[in-house]
Amino acid sequence: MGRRILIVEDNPQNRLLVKDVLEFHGYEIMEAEDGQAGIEMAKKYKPDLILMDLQMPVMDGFTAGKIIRSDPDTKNIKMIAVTSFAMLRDKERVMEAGFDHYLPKPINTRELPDLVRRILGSEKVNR
Amino acid sequence: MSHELRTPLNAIIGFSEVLEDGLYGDLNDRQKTYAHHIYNAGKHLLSLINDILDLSKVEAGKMEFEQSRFPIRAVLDSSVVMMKEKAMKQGIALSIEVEPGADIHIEADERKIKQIVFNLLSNAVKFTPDGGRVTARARLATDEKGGEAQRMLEICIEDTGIGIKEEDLPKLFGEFSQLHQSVLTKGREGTGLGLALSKRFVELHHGCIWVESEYGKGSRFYFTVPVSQGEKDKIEE
Repeated sequence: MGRRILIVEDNPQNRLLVKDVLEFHGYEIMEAEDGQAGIEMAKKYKPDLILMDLQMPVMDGFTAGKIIRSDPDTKNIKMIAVTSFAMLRDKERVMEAGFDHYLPKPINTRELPDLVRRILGSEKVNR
Repeated sequence: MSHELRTPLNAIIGFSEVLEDGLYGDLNDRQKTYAHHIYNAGKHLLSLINDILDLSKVEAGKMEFEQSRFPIRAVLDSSVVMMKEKAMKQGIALSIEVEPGADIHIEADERKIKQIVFNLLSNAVKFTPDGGRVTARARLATDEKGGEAQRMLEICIEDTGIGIKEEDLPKLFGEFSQLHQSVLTKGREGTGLGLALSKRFVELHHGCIWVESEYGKGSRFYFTVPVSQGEKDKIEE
């Protein structure tokens, strides 16, 4: 049975790209277009993994990530932060916000499936 | 602005990759080649945008200087590791020579120093024929600016490459100054901004960058940065 991945990203093209690549590899995909909607989807559907864009309207990915991490219902969901090259220096901030991994854009569609497999397969990271 | 410029490129790069890989149906060979060209052009445009944004930031005086203390050897090591595969394919011997006194920690902006070293190294590999040699060296030097001796770290990237004609040397650190238009077609592409950007980064550190080259034989690119940025390290004479 395919595992469930939630994509939180405001740009529809980027969302479609990630969705199509991961669906091809057998995952069940859900989408949200801002951090607020992402939190609601996460609570309701308990995905195995969330791919979270950091720069979004309504609520950015840092805030949403922190809220998901602090809610007992969603705190064990694995999370990958996705952001542009320019924000690489924010890596520490990303890890502090509770993300398991950090993925710079443009997303490498050839490496993404491996990364997802690794993160879903790995034990919960210590925090 | 950077977000707005990069976002469309994410789609161009990503979807052309998916097309080329035939995730949802195979393309014929010609179509695959087209998809590959779109991908490469997208990647190239992205590096251009990144370099131009960096350059304009420096020029506007808005480039932040993120100072930390780090071992220079680690920077050389990681840059060499990143270039290793490419060098190996071309049969180029890549090595590091750090003088005993220069195996130190320096106070600088690590990311920018890394970018300079990587840029010089990748240029060296790019313009060195198969079977050549590229060496990254580090040593200590002194700078006598304003009568005060200051400890500087000097990095030299030496290659046995195609070299640079003397009349071309002054243009080298300008924007879009790729000299070797003819060799560009051989896949030696770059943004033409790497050296201009490296020069700006070195200047942010109050260092110098220069080149010695013999056409047809090879080049040596040097840059210096102060060992410590804040309180100037004085040397007892």
